[in-house]
Amino acid sequence: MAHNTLQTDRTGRAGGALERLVPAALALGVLLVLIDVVWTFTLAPMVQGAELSEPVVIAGQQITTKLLLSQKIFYLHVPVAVASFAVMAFAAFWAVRFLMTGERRFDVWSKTAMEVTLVFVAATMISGDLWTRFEWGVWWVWEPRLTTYFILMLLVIGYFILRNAIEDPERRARFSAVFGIVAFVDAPISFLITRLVPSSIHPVVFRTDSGLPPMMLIPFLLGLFGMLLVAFALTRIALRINSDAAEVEELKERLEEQDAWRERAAADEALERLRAAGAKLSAPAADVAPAAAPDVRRAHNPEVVGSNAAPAADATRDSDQSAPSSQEV
Amino acid sequence: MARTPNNQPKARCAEPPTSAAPRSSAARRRASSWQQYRALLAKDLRQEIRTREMLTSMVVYALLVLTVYGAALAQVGDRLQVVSFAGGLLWALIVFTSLLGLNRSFAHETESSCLEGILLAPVDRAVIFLAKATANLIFLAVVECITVPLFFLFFLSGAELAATTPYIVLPLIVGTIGVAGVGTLLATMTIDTRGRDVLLAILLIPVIFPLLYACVSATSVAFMGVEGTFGTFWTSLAVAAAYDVVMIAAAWGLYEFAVEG
Repeated sequence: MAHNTLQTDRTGRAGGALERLVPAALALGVLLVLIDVVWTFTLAPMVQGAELSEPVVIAGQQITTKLLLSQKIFYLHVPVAVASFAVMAFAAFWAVRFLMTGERRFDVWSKTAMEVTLVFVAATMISGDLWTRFEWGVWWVWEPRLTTYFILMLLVIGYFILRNAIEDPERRARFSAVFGIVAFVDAPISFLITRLVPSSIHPVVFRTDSGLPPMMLIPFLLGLFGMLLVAFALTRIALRINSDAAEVEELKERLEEQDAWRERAAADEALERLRAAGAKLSAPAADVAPAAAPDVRRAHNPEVVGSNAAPAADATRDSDQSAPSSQEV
Repeated sequence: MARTPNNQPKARCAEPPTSAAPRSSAARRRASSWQQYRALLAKDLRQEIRTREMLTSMVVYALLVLTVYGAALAQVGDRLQVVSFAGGLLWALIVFTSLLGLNRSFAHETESSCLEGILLAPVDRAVIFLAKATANLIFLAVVECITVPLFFLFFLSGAELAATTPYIVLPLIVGTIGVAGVGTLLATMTIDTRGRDVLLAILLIPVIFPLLYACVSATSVAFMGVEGTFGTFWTSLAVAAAYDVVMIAAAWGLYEFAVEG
């Protein structure tokens, strides 16, 4: 995934060639995942599970182990989990970019990637929990991988609680970027924990000598690639929505600013007109008939009672209500 | 016209100090990271010695947690059973007590706008972080020195302690350093937010979880003292120490973004 190469225009909206790939990536990803699921239930062999308490004879053959149908969830569970790590890596990467540049769009991107991460983490937890229940008969085990992944989910949830707790957008962006980076430290721990603390429950899947037969490896890889494509497409779509939302917010702010500016301009214009009217009145009064001037001024604008128009105009500027009086003039 | 002769000697008088002032302040700034650190640390310690607010509340809170443990373990007759999960109990006590202390440690700073004053001073943010983290570490260590013997007194006084029990000091030291370091960063961020007490718990507990897990593992091994399991102790301690190094380095680097700039 080449998120970091994408370009945005000035308003922070994502665009460019990658944008056109999104529908294709989504379709291809969904197709690959579907092939993975169909293959899983048709061609992939069953896995020998736990030993039975006593051998049973089925169709003339002595069976000592149980075939595990629940293992089929492996083909979805692992790709979803890997996708969640990948998206979270981008969330942390964009958080670093935000702290480096201070550009607001990176905050929006980081938040978006975190949202997608939460979706994939939830999907992983649900699928993993179903697997746990059907394979071991319990809903939850405090096993290293499970525990660290559970903590990852709590960290992502904590990220959004932190975001909601801060009002000021600048501080919110800064603090959530810091926390996003700190939270990401758990992701490699969770990914590598099966290597550090070996457990039979989560084998080390990503290795060159995985021992998976091709009939199992191929659907798994298809599912993995498909899920990464789906994650990419979902992130891009969410990115566009969030960028648009951020842009709308910005435009709304600018509109309000412009509104205020226009009101101010109207007020200034009214003031100018008032001044011009005052000057026009006082000019003939001073040059031609000084005695008649006060009468004329009073007749045209009863409110202006000063000896010249300028202080009166200042008064109208102070009260900031010159727009209605300009109608009267 | 008459003023200029008056002004000139003044200006001349003022000149030597102004030219000397940057030199002396520059000298002070160059030598001062350590001095700044000591001054900030001394300020926190002095404040605590005068008010005793944080230590009192932390010790009393720890006592209350021990009381709750007393109720929770009232039906566990066998002391040996307590030994098997004493490590977990001890660490739960430390985590909850340090949450309280970390929240209090920054309450002082905001109440009298002290933090703003510190930030206005030309002090490197990393120095502030180190001083603050050290102060928190000292307070946590003091509280542990009081509560850990009490824990032994209340729950392990009749039990046969393994010969390796004194080794619990090592995970306690490593774990407390990590909690103080990460906690200082997160407490700085949550201090001005809505519902800061809850928010600190929500952020801190998941972040320190790997450290907690390793420390509980090491402490439990030391408590049990079973032959041939002591390798786990050193592995867990190494994991905890590695976590400390990574997290404190991250917190140190990120601290300037966490305080108001």
